Parts: sequence; C-alpha cells; structure tokens
Amino acid sequence: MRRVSPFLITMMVLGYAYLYVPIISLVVFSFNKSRLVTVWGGFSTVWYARLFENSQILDAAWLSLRLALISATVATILGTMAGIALVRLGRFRGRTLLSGLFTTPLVMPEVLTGVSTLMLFLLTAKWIGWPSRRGFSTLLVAHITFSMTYVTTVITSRLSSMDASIEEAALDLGSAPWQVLRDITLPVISPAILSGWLLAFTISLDDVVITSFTNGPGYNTLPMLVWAKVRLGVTPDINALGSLIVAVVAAGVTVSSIVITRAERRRQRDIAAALAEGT
Amino acid sequence: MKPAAWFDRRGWSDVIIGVPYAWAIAFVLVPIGIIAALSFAEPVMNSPPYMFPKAWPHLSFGSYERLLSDSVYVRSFGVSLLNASIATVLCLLIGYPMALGLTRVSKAANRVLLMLIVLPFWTSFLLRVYAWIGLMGNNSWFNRLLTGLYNSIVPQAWHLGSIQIMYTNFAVIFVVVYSYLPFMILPLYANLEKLDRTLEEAAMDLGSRPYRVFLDVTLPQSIPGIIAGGLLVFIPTAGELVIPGLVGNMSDPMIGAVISEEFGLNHDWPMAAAISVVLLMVLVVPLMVYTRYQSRAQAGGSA
Amino acid sequence: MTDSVDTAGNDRFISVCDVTKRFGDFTAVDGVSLNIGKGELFALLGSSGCGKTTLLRMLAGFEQPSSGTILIDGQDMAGIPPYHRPVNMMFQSYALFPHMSVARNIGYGLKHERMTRAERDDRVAAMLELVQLKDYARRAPHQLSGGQRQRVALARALAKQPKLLLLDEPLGALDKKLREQTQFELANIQYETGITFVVVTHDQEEAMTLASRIAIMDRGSIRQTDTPRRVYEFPASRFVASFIGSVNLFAAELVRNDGDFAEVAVPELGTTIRALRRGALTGRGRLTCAFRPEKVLMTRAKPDSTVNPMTGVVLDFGYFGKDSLYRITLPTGTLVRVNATNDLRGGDDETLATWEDEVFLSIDPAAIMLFEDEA
Repeated sequence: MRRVSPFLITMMVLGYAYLYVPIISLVVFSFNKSRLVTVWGGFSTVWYARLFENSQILDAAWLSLRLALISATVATILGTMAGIALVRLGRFRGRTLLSGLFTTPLVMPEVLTGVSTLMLFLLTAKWIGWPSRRGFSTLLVAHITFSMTYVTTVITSRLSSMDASIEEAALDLGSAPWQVLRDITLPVISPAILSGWLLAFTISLDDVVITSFTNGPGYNTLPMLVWAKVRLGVTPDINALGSLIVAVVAAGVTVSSIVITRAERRRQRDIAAALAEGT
Repeated sequence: MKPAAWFDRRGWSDVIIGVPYAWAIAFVLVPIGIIAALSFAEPVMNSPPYMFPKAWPHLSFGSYERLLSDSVYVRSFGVSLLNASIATVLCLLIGYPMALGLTRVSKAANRVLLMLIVLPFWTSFLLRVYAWIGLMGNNSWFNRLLTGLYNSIVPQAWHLGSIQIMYTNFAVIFVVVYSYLPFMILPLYANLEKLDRTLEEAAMDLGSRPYRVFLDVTLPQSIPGIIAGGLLVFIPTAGELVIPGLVGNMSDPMIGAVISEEFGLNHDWPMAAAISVVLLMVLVVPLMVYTRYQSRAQAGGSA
Repeated sequence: MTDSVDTAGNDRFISVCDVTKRFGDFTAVDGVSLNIGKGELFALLGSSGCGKTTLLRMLAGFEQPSSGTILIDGQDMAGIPPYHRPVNMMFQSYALFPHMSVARNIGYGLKHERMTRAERDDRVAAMLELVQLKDYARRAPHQLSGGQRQRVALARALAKQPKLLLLDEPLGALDKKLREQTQFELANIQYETGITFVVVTHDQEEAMTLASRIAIMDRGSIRQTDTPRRVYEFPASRFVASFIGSVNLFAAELVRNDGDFAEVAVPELGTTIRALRRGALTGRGRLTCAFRPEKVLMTRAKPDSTVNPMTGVVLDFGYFGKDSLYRITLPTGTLVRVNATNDLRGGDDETLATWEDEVFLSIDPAAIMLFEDEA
C-alpha cells in the first residue's frame, strides 16, 4: 500500500476539520444551558426536552416525514420505470427527450425548478381548476418530480453495469419479457432500488427551495420552519434539532456501512472457499 | 424505427415508457415551456400578472431588453457566475487531495473516512449552513479565536474587535464550498478509486518522480471525475438563493435571489421568466457537456 | 450436404437456408446454409467477427434474420421469440442468476413446462447428477468455482430437454487441464442425452476434438463444412488449409497433368512437385501448393530413392518432447516447417537433427494439397 504523503494528510485533516467543526460546535452548544449560542453556560438537556414539547416543530416533522415517505415511494417507481426504459428498451421514439427530461432537473438550479413548477400550478389552477389551493398535493407532485430523476440516475448506472446476459438466459429458458423483469431484473437491481428510495427520501426531507415555491400557507415542512427561524437568528432549540438529525443520520450511515462491509466480507470468503475447493 | 430488442411492442413496454414520460412532460417540460413563453409577455397589474401583446407576433422583448441593459441584472449574473466559478475551483483544490488521500489510506481507514464524507452529504443541508452561521457571528467562539489569531500576527494599529464574516460575499463562498464539497469529493473519489494502480507503478518504474506520476498519469485519467464534480458544484451554486440569503450581502444579490424577488415581490412574472431563460441558456453549455458525458458513460458501460 | 430428405428427417433436423443478417450496411452473416442432423455435435468455428456468434443468436432467437429461413425439426422459426423456441443456450459468461441457488437456477426454465412440483424436483436432481454436482443444490453462484459454474449453466440449459442446445465458447474460460477434462465430459453428456449440440468457438482444438462435423466461417460465409478429419486433411481452400493447423504454402504453376497426377513447378522450393490430383485443375487462376509439416519425411542420411526430394539445412527447431518442429532452409532461401515425431528414444546427437545439420526431405504425392483460386 502506498504511503500517504504528508501533503495529502495535511489536506485531509484540514478538509475534515472544515466539514466537522461547525457540526461538532452545533452538537456541543445544543447542550448549552444558556440561551446564547456564543457563551457556554453549563451542561443541560433542556433544549431537547423543549423540542419535544414544541408542537409546531413536531407537526412540521410529521408533515415532512409523510411527504418524504410518499414522494420517495412514487419517485422510486417512476424513476425505476424510466431507468429500465432508457437502458433496456432500446431505441424507441422520443428516447432522447426522455433522457433529457430526466437529466434536466438534476442540473438546473433549484430556483428555476421551483419557479417553473409554481407557475405551472398557478396557470393550471386558472385553466382547469386544479390545484385550487397549494398544499400537500402540490408539494407531493414537486417532490416526486425532482426526486425521480435522482432515482433514475442510480438505476441506469446499476443497469448498465449489470451483466445483461442473465436476462437473455431467462428469455432463453422460456420466460416472457415481463416475467424476466419480475424474476431477474428487479431482484438483481433491488439494492439499487433501495438506494434510490433512500436518496429520494433524504432529498425530499431536506428540500428547501422547491418546497418554498410550491407549498401553501400552513404547510410548513421542517426545513421551511427551520429556515424561517434561522432567518431570525441562531437559537438553541434548532441546535438541539440539528444534533438529533445528525445523530440519526450518523447512526443510519454507520449501521448501513457495517452491514455492507459484513456482507462483502462474507462474499469474499465464499468466493475464496470456492476457488480453494478446486474444480 | 426498429423495434426494441426483445420486448413486445404492445403492453408492458408502452407502460414502462409511457408513465414516466407522461409525468416528465407534464411536470418538467411544460413548466419550462411556460417559463419560456412567459418571458415574451408583458407585466401588468392584473391577475395573472402577465399579458401577451395584442398585436402580432404577440411577443414582447421588453423583459429581455431591460434585463440586458439594466446593470443590476447584468451585475447579478456576473456575481453569480463568478461566485460559482470560485466555489468550483476551491472545491476542486480542497476536494481533490481529500479524494486522492482516500484512495491511498488503508482499507479500514478508508471505510471510516468515507463514512465521514458521506455523513454531511446525507445530513440536512440547511442545518449545516445554520451551523456555520453560529460560528461566523461576531461574538462566537470561532470568531473570537480567529480575531485573536489575526491580532497576534498583525501590528497594533490594525487590530480588530472582531472579524466581520457574516453578510459578505466571502461568507457566501465559504459556506457554499462547505456545503458542496462532498458533491465534488464523491464523484472524484469514484473516478480515482477505479484507476489502474499498475499504470502509476509503470510510470515510476520508468523513472518518474511521484509528482510527475500524478501530473502525467493520475490527473489526466481523473478528468471525467473533475467534470462531474465540477458540474455538480457549479450549476446549483450559480442559482443558489438560500445561502446568499442567509449569510450574504443582499445589496449585491446573486441571480437566484433576483429571480425570486422579481417573481414573489415585484410580481413581475415575465421578468422572472426572462431571467430564468437567460440563466438556463448560460448554464445549458455545461448542461450539454454533462448529458453527453453521461450518455457516453452509459454507452461505454453497456457496450 | 447432398441429400434430398424433404421433411425433418434425421440429417436436416436443424436447417439454415440462405440466411443473411445485416446491421445497417454491415453484413454479419451472408447467405449461410447449413444442415445439422439430429443428435449431432456440430461446431461453428471461426475467428472473432466472422459471424458465428450472430448465427448462434439467430438460432436462439435473439436476432431475426434479415432474409432466409431457419427450421428446427421442420418448424419455421421466423418471428418466434427465444422463449417460445425449443432451443436452449449455455452462455459464454454462464449467466447464472446471482440471486438464486444452484437448484433454483436449474429449475428456472421448468416452471414453464407442464410438470408437477415433484416432477420438477426430480428433473433438477437428475440434472445435478448428470453434471456431478449433487451436493451443491443449495449453493449460491458466487460460492462456486468457474468449472462448477459452467456445469450449472450446462445443467440449466439441458433441464428442459431442448431439441437444440447452443454452446457459446464453452471451454473458453477454463484453464488447460480443466479444458481437457471438460471436453470429454461434454462429449459424454451429449452422447448420453442424445440432444443436438451446436458449439460456437474460435478455438480449433476445441472444435476438432468435440465435434462430429465442423463448419468454418469467415467474414459471414461458410468456407467448408465437413468432419474434423476431412477439414484437416482435405481442406477445400487455401483459407481453410491455413486456418486449421499449420501448413506450408507456396505459389505454384501447373506444368502438366499426367493422368491421376499433376506436376507443378514451385519456384520457392526450387523444384517440381508431383501431386496426386483430387479435382480438375484448369491452369488458369492462382495455384497454391501446400503440405502439412507432419507429412514431410526428414532424414539425416541420404535416402536411396524418394519422391519429391529436397535438401536443406536446419535453421532452428522447437523441442516439444513428443515431437519437434523444425524450420529448414532450402537452397532457395525458403523456410519449410517440418514436424518430426520423436519416436526413437535417445540422446540429442544420436537421433535428432540439430542446428545446421544437412537434412533430406521427401513428401508423398498423396500428401500434397493443391488449391486453385480465381485470378
């Protein structure tokens, strides 16, 4: 293994410090008894307690969760369909457009997506009456739309790198195309589908800009709430909220990393055992 | 058109293609079309606040004219693109060594360090920005630390009570780089990690020193990763409005804030639309690079 | 081949009639016709790009011919997708389903047959027995070695007892020792099951040892279809002669026809060669004289009387234990490759010719091959 040069090590230390100093500071000050976020007043968990009493925050969290769950699921279905269409269904008429439409939201600044989607809703409200008010349904539509493009990226990447001959083998053995999809393709890419869902879930949970354009009065998602509060200044209950989120994400990432590493190690052992066995 | 390889034309393939297609047309293509169309309308005090000219060709270029002539808009574009460029370059300068280091450490260290990059990526963006706001305020411990350091280096006459970080363009770039750094590191790492180490060994065997090996072998091969990471930083940054709104100088706004203002505050839909169209066109060049690169990568993968 | 059996008789079990496949303006398969008999082990041999894989895929149903017909057991396969054909394929990459056990892999195709659960299980067990993987039913593909995976792929393709089994480069991924063993196993299995096999390969040795008949393909066309022995000893053209095994080739000119024999002048060899004629020679067009290295008799002592005599000097040789491959320089400067079996046991000096030895060569007229191409 090549030795890592001192330059690289220095850059890495600085880089990780850059990434983590504010997060660590956030967590530390979430336990600050004092209201001020600049002066340490002693250790206390009062802000966490307050968090769970704050119905505004709890409602917003619940809304964000519902939104994320539903939009992630629908986005995964749509995104997987599009991924399969783009990679496996050959050159159909309008393929380039589909590909472009599923790449565009990824590379457009969110403000453009937000403004254009809002204009659509305002105009359709005028022309066909829907949506009469902006609210959960408009948020859902907007979230699904930009999430599904992320899912498609994950799926197309996985499909392209997969050995397509197993699908041909399934056809050869008598399965019609839809059966091949059900028996072979989807099961084999299922880890990618799960990743896609998680990605869509996180993106929806975290979205600020597009939500701000397409939500209605009284539909505060958690990021909207935080944004409003943050504009007024830094407060300790947001510190507590942030620390909680960091903790949850950290737990999730750690657990999945361990699970993946274990599975990978087991796999390597199996392969080595098979080779050692001989023919 | 030649039928797809082994799917029936009827039935399933139509559904699989059709459903996402319909959704994408309705909610991606049509909105963009509406924006494009609205940019040729005129603002009126009405609801909805736009109107197409009565006379043929029913197109008004007024918004575009104002956009291109008014220095406010032009300057805003300039500031946005400049910030985006600086942020991209900084992300590259900081992120590349980190990605490279990740490929060189031991397997165990790599796993942990990679997790530490992925963690901010999955954590709420807003909260991370917020975390820096806390530190950049004039009374924070971080600021006092920096000021102390600054004062210890600098002569008495230049001493400061605190360093003004918040509400400056510097703050915007600083926080942008912070937020988008993982977006640069991850594609770069993915690219570097797949490179064939034996090429570097061959170069060394032929007499090149490490820095030359990097310049001649590693760097050229990492260009796809640089492009991918660069685009993932540049394009969103150009249209950023949350970060500038929270930590930037609002008297010198970036283009995202301008669009939002024209739309929400001034109710000038045609203007907002026109700016959006111009922004889209400016970004379309890197956008096409991205799409073509993606499709080439896909074709290479499935060939 | 030259039969006139109308219906799906035994020799025309698989019938490829003037099949062409074009991709855009590239013609991958050009007017190919083939008849394969029931229960044959047939090989399609050719280097990469010759069209053999495309032909294979057309038999399997993954490509449709641009023109021509394919009949299997008398049934026209036009428009019939792979999942409705009585054909199964063993893929080059094995293509085992990674998320299924060995048993489920093998049993996958049986779901479409009208069999009870018990019958399916019995068939899977029988297949496992056939490929000697009885104890591996529950394993996952990644827990198998390359050779084991291949056997699962074979078992899976045989499970439905198809009319035709296609094998795409079956021995390609195996190492030498395994290859030999597998060759015999494959031939045995084919014999036991009686299923018609068509093997596609670029490896001559594979084709020659496995198949009862070989078709040699080059740039979309079939150059010769014959048994391995006939392809080797009686190649139909210069191309086939140089494609299979090694051969010495020289430009020649017809001097005269002499009853059953022909005399040709071969400037490169510096002499006139007498050959047993096997077909008409017009004297027009490019004539090639050829003979295989092992057909040359080489001695260190001058023989009393010989046919087609030549002398030369040993330039170099490769010693392979069982034989030696010599390169002999003739007075004309031409190199002739000669293969001499080491059928006498002894040390170097006693029995083998060595560098710079003078040697005497002679070739039986029956061993001379003559090819005439159009001008």
